[in-house]
Amino acid sequence: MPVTYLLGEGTVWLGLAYVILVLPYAYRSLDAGLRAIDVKTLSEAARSLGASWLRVMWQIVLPNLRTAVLSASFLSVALVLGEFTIANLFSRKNLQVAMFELGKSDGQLSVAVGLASLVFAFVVLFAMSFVGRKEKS
Amino acid sequence: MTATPSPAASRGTEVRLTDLTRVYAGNVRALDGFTLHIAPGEFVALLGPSGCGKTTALRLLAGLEDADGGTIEVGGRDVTNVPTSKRDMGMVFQAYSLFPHMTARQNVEFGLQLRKQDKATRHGRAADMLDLVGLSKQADRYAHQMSGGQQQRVALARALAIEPQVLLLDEPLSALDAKVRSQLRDEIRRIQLEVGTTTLFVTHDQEEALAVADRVGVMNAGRLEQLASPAQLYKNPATPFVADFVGLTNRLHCRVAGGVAQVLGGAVPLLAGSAGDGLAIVLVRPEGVTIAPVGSGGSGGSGGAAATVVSASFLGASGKIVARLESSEGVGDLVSVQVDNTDVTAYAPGQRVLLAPRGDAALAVSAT
Repeated sequence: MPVTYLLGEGTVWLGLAYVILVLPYAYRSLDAGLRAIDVKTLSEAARSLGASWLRVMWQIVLPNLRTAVLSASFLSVALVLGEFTIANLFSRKNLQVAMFELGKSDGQLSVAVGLASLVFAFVVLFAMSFVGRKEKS
Repeated sequence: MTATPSPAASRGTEVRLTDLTRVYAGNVRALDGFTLHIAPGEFVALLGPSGCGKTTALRLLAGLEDADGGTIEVGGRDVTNVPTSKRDMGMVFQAYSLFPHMTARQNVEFGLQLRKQDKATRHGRAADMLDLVGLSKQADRYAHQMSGGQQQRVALARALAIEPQVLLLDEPLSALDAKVRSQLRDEIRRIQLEVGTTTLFVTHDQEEALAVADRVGVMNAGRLEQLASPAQLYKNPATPFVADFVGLTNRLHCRVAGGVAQVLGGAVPLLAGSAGDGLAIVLVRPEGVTIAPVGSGGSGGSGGAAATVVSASFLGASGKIVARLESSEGVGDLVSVQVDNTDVTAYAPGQRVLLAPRGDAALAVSAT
């Protein structure tokens, strides 16, 4: 594969590629979260009370972006799990291809893995709806 | 209220803003040689039209913006280059600024937590502060469970909890409706007198400024036009701008000679700082004018100027008559006259009346 000649097969490079791929999606959800609060006034209030910038980020901005950060994370996980093109360019297999190949050698195990991934997806979706609801109450 | 923030009482810090300048992009001078001295424990209100630089002045004192020139001294210490978090300023903002993920109590405790106070001290202090603003029962509520007025009270408690050197109020009442506004306004004054913290209050509402402050500074175009007690500001404005901006004012054309304006058929002495002899526009307060129906002879006997009533409005506690002066050349000036609410019905549009200046109550600053 051409990309591996250029960059090697390092996981770091694959990770970097995924970060860039996921950025616009994560941005969307973080942006919506930032718009929902008055970041400027909140951080000015915190600073006037004596908080450093680091503390403002950690104790004021992030807690109020909890929902946005979580949904950005879930979105990223979902996106990366289903990604094939970039993984292939780095001579790697993604989940679906691995399961397909597994099915050719051991049918039973393949079905089990498929079921497990379904359960995982269900749990993630369930958790996500739960997080969204908690913020509103 | 029995809650007394022990060490803060009778404590006050002196504030000196000297020759402050702040230039925004596009060479807009938001502050242009602004100088203000606030005595320890004093409550000063900055009043002015939008864009006059009053909020900029407050933000410079808070350290939220950097001055392009001049110095800021708090308690004798030069803090011009000290970051906001080290300035020890309690601030209440126009926009609701409670941290949404914390309860009222946690909000008040936030600043104390940063000051590494132990839990018991924090709790006690937060309870005292919430008691001071009358919200002890709402201590465990989140911002979205409180009304706007309650949120601003908590914000005030949060600002005072850290025993700030200076309390900065950036139009804290503008987002509230009229009744809550005047209530909270009086409460702010009561609390400020109780804790004795030096306070700078920025507002565009003159009634607010006059009601609460020890001294009011009227700002225009990045400068302080006049700094005086509310009564002095109203009765003895230093410049036409102040006279025009503070209180309602009639603008009347007249002739000025020897420091006296010939207006409404009477002679009114001009205040210091007025323009010289000749034709001028003179500012006269609505309560400085008397009105009487033609033929009644009840306008102080000195005759007065003939006018025709344009409208008569009942304003609750008082009434307002607007009349147009009869003029030999062109259209005469409109004059508003403040009257007792019971007198409003005595006048109807179209009726001819006599207007006269009311002795010493008339104010005249010429604005040529």
